[in-house]
Amino acid sequence: MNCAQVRGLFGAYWDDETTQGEREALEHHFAACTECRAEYEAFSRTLELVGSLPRAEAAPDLVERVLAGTRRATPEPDLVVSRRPGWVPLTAAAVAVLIGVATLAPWLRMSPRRNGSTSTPIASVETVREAVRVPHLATGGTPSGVNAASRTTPATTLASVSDSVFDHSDDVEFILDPVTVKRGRVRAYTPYTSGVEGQRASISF
Amino acid sequence: MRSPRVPAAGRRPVVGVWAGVALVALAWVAPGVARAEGPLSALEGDVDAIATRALPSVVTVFAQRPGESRARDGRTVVRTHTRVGSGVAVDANGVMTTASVVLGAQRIVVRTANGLEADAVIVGCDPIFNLALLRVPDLRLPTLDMASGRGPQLGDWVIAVGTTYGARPTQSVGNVAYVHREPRFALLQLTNTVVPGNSGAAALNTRGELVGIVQGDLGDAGSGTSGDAARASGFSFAIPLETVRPVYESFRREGRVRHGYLGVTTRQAQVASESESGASVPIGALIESVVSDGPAARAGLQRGDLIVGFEHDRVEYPEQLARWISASRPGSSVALVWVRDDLEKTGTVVLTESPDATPGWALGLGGPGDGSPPRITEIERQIQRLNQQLQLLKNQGGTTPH
Repeated sequence: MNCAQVRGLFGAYWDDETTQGEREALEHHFAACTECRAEYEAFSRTLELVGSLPRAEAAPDLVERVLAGTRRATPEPDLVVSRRPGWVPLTAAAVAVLIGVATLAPWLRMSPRRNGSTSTPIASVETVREAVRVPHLATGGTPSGVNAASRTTPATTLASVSDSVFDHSDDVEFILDPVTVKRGRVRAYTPYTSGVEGQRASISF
Repeated sequence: MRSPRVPAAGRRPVVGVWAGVALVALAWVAPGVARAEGPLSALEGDVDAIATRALPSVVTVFAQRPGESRARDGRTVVRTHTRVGSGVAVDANGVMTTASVVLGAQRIVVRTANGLEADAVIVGCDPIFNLALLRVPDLRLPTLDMASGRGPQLGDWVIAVGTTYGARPTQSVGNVAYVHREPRFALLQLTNTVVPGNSGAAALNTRGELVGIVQGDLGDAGSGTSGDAARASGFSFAIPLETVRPVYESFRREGRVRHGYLGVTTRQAQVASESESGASVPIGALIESVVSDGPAARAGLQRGDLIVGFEHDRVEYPEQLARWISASRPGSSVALVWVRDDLEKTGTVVLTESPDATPGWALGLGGPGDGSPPRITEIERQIQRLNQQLQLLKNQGGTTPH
């Protein structure tokens, strides 16, 4: 038994969990090797010292406090797993349909070359892929509009507003509705009521 | 012989050492004194904790629609107009905001405090109550609990949490300065400072519960809806939960709010002010026409009647009456007071449901009026005559020597 094997058995020897043969081999090694004997003495002294330390008791309300802290922890907004059909399963389904159609074609007398039906499943996949994209706001060709979802990273962002909204270079209005108080009467702002004010305006309700 | 200076010189280092020890001790203790938490700093900590906890539930709402603007060369170009407001998560993917932020939007994007952005759709939008509910299918938001029990009372503390330029958070502490009450509506006047972009922000109580949705500040309604720093008045307004909750429930249930309908067309009636020359005083809603077999017609209202009262409240403007009628539930009975042939009449009208999802008047669909006020001129003349007589009496009283 070499030194490394002996040191690997220190714990078992301390706990008296070695076999008779291991114990005899260890003690034989200790008689011959002063280094290992000193090492074991240091090991056993350390364990005795640690064992003599007073046992620290947890505060009685520790569990309650930890649970309360967990409850108080502020949850963060998170993305939900997309319920939209992803394009990968759709493509797989389309390919399966394509293979099925190709396999059944001889029996159905449908020659792909004759009627060009091979393009149909592919086209349908493309259509669906377009459909699952977030609709792009028509901006009359102005590129300063919002980005489509396809241009964003799905892992972190599902939609995005253009940076120009933040640097105010775009046509941006930050809303704070004006409320007027006249002779103790509050006149809260309602959108689009400007056209009905004035003496001559008539309104139906 | 020892020089007398030697001992003195020997004491100096000792004094210096003690002074050094004292300084070190002071330096050790001083931060402790500064850190000592008094009631005020504890209060500040509580407010911060409430705002910090609410912040993940407060979002920035970007509502985009194509708008026209004039280029330098005079051509009209189509640009994306973005209205930015705040919103509050009231359920896992439901955000409450004001109608003025999202009305007419073709695309809405919601941005959370931790930078997530996702498209939102309008579940319901009501310009009468100025509230809108958005659905954000791709986000799971921590919700703000709605306060239960009594509504906010005068003096109650309110913490407003919203977002502003750059989608950055805003936070202010104030209290309820006044509760404006009118039929079917209430509005909290707060001392909180609000900033542009705060429309739709959260108004919280000291337990961190939602007590209202911030609408705006004290401003000039004629100046448009865009916030302006120069307009800062120190007062803000919030739609209380007693109004928000039923509207939210209605949006969730059927995606809209059902509005009451009276079946009249009215225009404003006003007379010259007796206290301010040149100014006019609104006196009610003058009926120009009545829809046959409508609720008003069934209650006996006629063309030329001047509606001056609604449920014990004075009606001054037609728009005021229209708001109260539209905010009433279809099928509900409302007590009206009107004037016909100089006589006051009262009656109860059972409202029906408005044929339009959003009443036309709230969308600016007002007519110019038929130009033939039936009885208003008569009433105006009578009031003017009375004013003149009153003025004469006052003048006589003022010149009579005592």
